[in-house]
Amino acid sequence: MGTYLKIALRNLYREKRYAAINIAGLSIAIASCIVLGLYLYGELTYDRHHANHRKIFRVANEFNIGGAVNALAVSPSVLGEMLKEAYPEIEDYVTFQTALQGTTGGVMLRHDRDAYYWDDAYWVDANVFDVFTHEVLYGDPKTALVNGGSIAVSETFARRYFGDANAIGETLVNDNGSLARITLVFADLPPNTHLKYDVLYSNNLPFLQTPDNTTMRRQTLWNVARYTYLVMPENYDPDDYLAINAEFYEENMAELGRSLNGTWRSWLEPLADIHYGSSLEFDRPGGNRFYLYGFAAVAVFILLVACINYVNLATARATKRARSVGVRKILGAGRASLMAQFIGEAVLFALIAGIVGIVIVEVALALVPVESLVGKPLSLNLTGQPLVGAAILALSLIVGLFAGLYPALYLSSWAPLTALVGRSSRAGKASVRFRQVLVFTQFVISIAVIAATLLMSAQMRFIADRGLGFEQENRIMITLRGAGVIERIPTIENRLSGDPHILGVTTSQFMMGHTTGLQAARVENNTGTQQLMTVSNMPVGDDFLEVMGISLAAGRDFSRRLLTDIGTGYIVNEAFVRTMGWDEPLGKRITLGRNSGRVIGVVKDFNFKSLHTAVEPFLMYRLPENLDDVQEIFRPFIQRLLVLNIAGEDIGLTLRMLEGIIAEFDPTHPFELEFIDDSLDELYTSERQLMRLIAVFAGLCIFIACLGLFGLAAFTTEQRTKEIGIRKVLGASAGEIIMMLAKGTLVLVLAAAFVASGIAYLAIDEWLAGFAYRAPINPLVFVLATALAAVVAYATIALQSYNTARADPVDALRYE
Amino acid sequence: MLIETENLKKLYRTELVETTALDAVDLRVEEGQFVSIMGPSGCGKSTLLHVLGLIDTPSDGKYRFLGEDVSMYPERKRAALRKKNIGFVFQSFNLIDELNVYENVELPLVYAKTPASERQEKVGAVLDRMDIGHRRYHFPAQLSGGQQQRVAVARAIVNQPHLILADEPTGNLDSEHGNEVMQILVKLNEEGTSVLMVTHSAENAAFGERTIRMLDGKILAEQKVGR
Repeated sequence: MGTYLKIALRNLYREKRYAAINIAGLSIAIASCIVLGLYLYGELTYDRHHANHRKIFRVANEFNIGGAVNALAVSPSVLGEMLKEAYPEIEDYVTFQTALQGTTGGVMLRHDRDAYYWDDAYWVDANVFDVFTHEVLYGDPKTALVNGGSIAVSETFARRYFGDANAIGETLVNDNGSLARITLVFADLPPNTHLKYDVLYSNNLPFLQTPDNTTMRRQTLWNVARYTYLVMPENYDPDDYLAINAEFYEENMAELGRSLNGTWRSWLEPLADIHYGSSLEFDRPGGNRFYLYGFAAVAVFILLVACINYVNLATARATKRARSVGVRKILGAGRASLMAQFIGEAVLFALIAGIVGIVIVEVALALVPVESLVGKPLSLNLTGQPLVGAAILALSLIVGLFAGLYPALYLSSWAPLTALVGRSSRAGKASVRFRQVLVFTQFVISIAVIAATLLMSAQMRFIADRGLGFEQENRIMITLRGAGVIERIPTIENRLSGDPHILGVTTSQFMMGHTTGLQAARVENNTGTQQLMTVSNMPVGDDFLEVMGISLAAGRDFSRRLLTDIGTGYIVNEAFVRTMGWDEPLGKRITLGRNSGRVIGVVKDFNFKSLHTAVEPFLMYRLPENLDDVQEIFRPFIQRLLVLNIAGEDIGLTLRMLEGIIAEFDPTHPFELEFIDDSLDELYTSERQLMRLIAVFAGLCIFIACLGLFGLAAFTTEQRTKEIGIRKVLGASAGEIIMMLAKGTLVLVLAAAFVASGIAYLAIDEWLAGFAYRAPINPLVFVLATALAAVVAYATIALQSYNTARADPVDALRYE
Repeated sequence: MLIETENLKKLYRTELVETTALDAVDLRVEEGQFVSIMGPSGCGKSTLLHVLGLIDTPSDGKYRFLGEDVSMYPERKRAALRKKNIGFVFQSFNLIDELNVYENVELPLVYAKTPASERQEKVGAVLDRMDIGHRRYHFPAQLSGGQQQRVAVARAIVNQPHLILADEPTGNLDSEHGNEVMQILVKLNEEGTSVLMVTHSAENAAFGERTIRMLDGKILAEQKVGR
């Protein structure tokens, strides 16, 4: 082993350029794999940091009301408690209920002059720290959330208000003036946690108490409010829960279900499977397996391209090693020892590349915004996580073995005499053909990845340019909090209407692109009977259609003059009309919740969700202005959006003016403003990330492939020096010489383009299936990708061969 | 009998041409002989050396080496016989560039699985014998032609083979160094090692006791030379 290492190091030193090309390519590939590997590891180990993760299951459930089916991640608030009481095999349960009252603004907490909004805040049971694993920095997890009014907060939260000081005992003020006392501080949750939070409120509060009365409990079971997690015994089979579900339903819900013409069922989701396995409504944002496969494929491709480089260069330069192989064989070397030597060299290259790769990763993580590329922070902690170092070592060894195997087989296969005196032309041709296959493969990968990037970019442009059926440019939304402020909206609107920069004002409960309401409604069909339908909905204020540029197809908008529009008028979209099959939509009766009314208008379809989904049935109803029947306890938490169409000039001035005016009406809350187009852009963040990632790695693929081409071109030019000299004597120009050397490779690139185009087309077609609206696949993209690859390949070869092509013919002829 | 061939043939075929390199060669060499093979370029003398050295196989005929019929032996068996019994000296030395002098000479012992301590002793002895011990850690590129050939000879004899096959051993040397190498070969022969040498030089051939002349793959004539 020591001899092999010594010889490998000497060869590396003697052939520095070849070694540099190989190590550069392999180290970039290994570095790419490390980065992608860190990302994939994080994605595939969601929630596994919880010690009990194998025993924790989330209860998912599905309601079927009159044929309208909804599968939800949130479940009845009393469900966990009732299940635990009835079934002793359930060891524990814990529930999370979002503390957010609106759908756009977070929970506000104030300490002295510091007030911030927190999107991830929940009311939870006191045993949350028994079930889920937290790194507790301060406080006692057993008692922290026992008392109502206690909160447990993240390190980020504590630092925002109190710096590095111990925040235990500090008190913050909620929106309604109630106090929240910090009783525990936990370290920030790892990024690969499906349910993230900064604030956990104790749910030991009167308005959150679940009923004791059986009848009330059974009624509550038909409403959803909380994420419910159960702790089951070790090695519990979630299929066994189905029997529990059936029994529970029969005993507690079947009777009421019959009267509602509905059914309910539940099942268990293993904690570690939620992020990628679950697709329920009202769930936390989940992962997309397609992207995982995409990232893994990119890592494999880059590694393959680098390994191909090694194989190509090693076999091309085989003639330089032939004599050594021949002599060794004559002296009695067995094939195994020769193979061990060549594989050993490859492993040495790969191990050096592994070390260089680690350095590249550390530098990249420090200097490059990798987080914007992969969507989460990454870090390489070799000392803290020795398994990561072991994995990198294993990767390097595998790469070395894989890359070195063919050259070892090839170089050791020669008969002693053949090696000594030269290969037969037939064997040489076979070797050249194999190298061509390898170069072809590299370019298939590179062109496919480039084409995929261009097509993804086209889709993102299509999304950006496609009309959504409403205007988003210069539309802003300001979150107003508290019933006191909201009841003064008419006054605010009056103040704003006078300003020439304000082109329109309206209100809304939600905004396009964010969560809308989802409710069962009774809808009159063509025969006059009512049918149940689950429909997305949004309460809006006057002039919403005008401010947002939504076109009417029939009927009218809500009218200020007609107070009866509140609670009795509905505006639906064309998809709604199509779904119901209405001949005449105007006047049709709809009952939503307690409000029964008629359709007064139909709007042209607009995309109120992302372009991933086609337009669904949608209805709007008039926001009530009077909040008298809102319970006192909830009045501080009511939110509403003030939606404005502002002029395109002096935007900064306009925003400052708005901040000033809103502060007059609400001096308590920090100003919350968002541009609607920015907000909608966020719907496509993961696609943009994937596209940027693929683009970066497409560039790396091509770069590594060209590194290999560079080395091959250097070798080929050297081998053909005499031929080049003769051609020059006969009158060939430098350009003709370069084209002669590049021609073979350019033919390979063109051939690779055909295969690559097919592969890219299929892959992108699959990705586009996730969009309801997709850009057509333009064939010119494949032409462009091919042209790019061809130009880069030609330039690489030209760069390498230029000097030889320009040299005096006599130098070439003297070369031998 | 060391070497015995009967109707030995070697054909080379390409896509268009078939060349007869050896044509019905009958040859006998006894242990301890020094035989020179001469002939014009392309007469088949190097091919004969390669076949006799078990680094190439005959197309037809029989070849017995140390009484064993090795005509159809696979490479594995030929390699085993070769490393035990035959040493090679080439015109272009064929030292391995990435190994130093010591490592080049040690190589046959490594492949013969000789224990490390024994290898050290044998290599040291043979380097001293070839008067090249003072350059043991030099690389081939740092040696003169004569020195390289002495290293090659040292490598050829370190395993104490029955037979040394030398293909134009002085072809790349000046007369002084060439003569040096020939003297070494004669001395080895006097100590009992058989030598089979291909040469263009009648002067070098005179160092042997037999000279075989070849033409067009055939043995034309044989001459006994008194040394």
